[in-house]
Amino acid sequence: MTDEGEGEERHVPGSEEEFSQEDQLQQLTETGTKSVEATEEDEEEVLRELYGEPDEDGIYRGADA
Amino acid sequence: MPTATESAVSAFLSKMREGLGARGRPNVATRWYATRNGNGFLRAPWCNIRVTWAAFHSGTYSAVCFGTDFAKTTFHASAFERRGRWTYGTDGIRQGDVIFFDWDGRGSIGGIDHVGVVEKVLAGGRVQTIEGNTSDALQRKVRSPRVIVGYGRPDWGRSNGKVTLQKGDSGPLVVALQKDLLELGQKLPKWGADGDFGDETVAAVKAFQDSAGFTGKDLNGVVSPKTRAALDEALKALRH
Repeated sequence: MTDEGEGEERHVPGSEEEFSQEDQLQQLTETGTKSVEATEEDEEEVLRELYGEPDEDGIYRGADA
Repeated sequence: MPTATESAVSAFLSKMREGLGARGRPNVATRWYATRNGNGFLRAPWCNIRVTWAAFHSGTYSAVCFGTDFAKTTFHASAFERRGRWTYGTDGIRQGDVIFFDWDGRGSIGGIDHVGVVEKVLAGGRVQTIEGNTSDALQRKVRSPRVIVGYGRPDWGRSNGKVTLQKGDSGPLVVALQKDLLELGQKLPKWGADGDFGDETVAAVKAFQDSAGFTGKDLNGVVSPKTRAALDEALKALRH
C-alpha cells in the first residue's frame, strides 16, 4: 500500500452520499456504455493542429503524453 | 510558480494522459478498481473508473471524487450536483473539469452515457478531452455541445498542498521536484532533472527525508504532503 491518497479521506459508508459499489456495478451491467459515439467530423484535423501528426497507432500524443 | 489549483489540475491531467492509446480490459485502472471494490469491475465499462484512478493517483481524489470510488457516470455527476459543483452545458467550462456526455442529447443527468476530462476549451462550446473507454481505449477526443450534458468542477481547494508524487510519475511537477532536490544538495547523478520519477529520484527523496528526520513509514521515497512541506521549509531556509 502506498500513501497515494494520503490526507484524503475515503468516504464512510452509511452517510447520505453513499453510492454503493453494488449499485454501481449493477447499473453498469444493466446499461453498459453505448458504443454509438458522436465523433466530430473535423476531429482529426483539430487534434492534428493541437498535437501534430499521430503516431503509428493513430494516437495524438503531442509533447506531453 | 504555479498555484495550488494549477498544480492539482496539471497532476490530474498528467495521470489522465498516462498510457494514452492503451486499449482493452482489464487494464491498469480496472485492476486497481477491482482490487478495492470487487472483481466484477475488472471488465466493466471503464470511462469513470479511469477518472477515479487518475484522481486517486494524482492526489486529487478528494477534489474530484469527494472520497468515493465512482464507476457509474450518473452517480458521479449526481455527486457534483449535490455539492453545487455541477453546471449544465458548457458555459464557464475550464481545463480539468469532469465532463459528461449523452449521445442522445437529452441533457439530463439520468441520460448520461460517458465521461471524460477537459484538456482544452475550443471555440463554439466545443472541448478537447481525454477519455477512457472510448472505443475501449484511452484517447483524446473532440466533443460538441450537442452531446454534452454538463460538467463537474472539482473542488480543487481540497487538493491544496496534497499533490503526491511518487515512483512512476512524470512531467513538469517531477522536473520541479528534481530541481528542488538538486538545490538542496541531493544527488541525481545519472539522470538529473529528467522529469521521470524513477529509482534515482526515489533514492534522492529518501535521502532528503532522512536528513529531515523522517523515520519509519515516512522514510519511503514518496513526496507526500508532509514531505512536500519539509522540502518547502528546507528551500525557504536555504534561500534566506
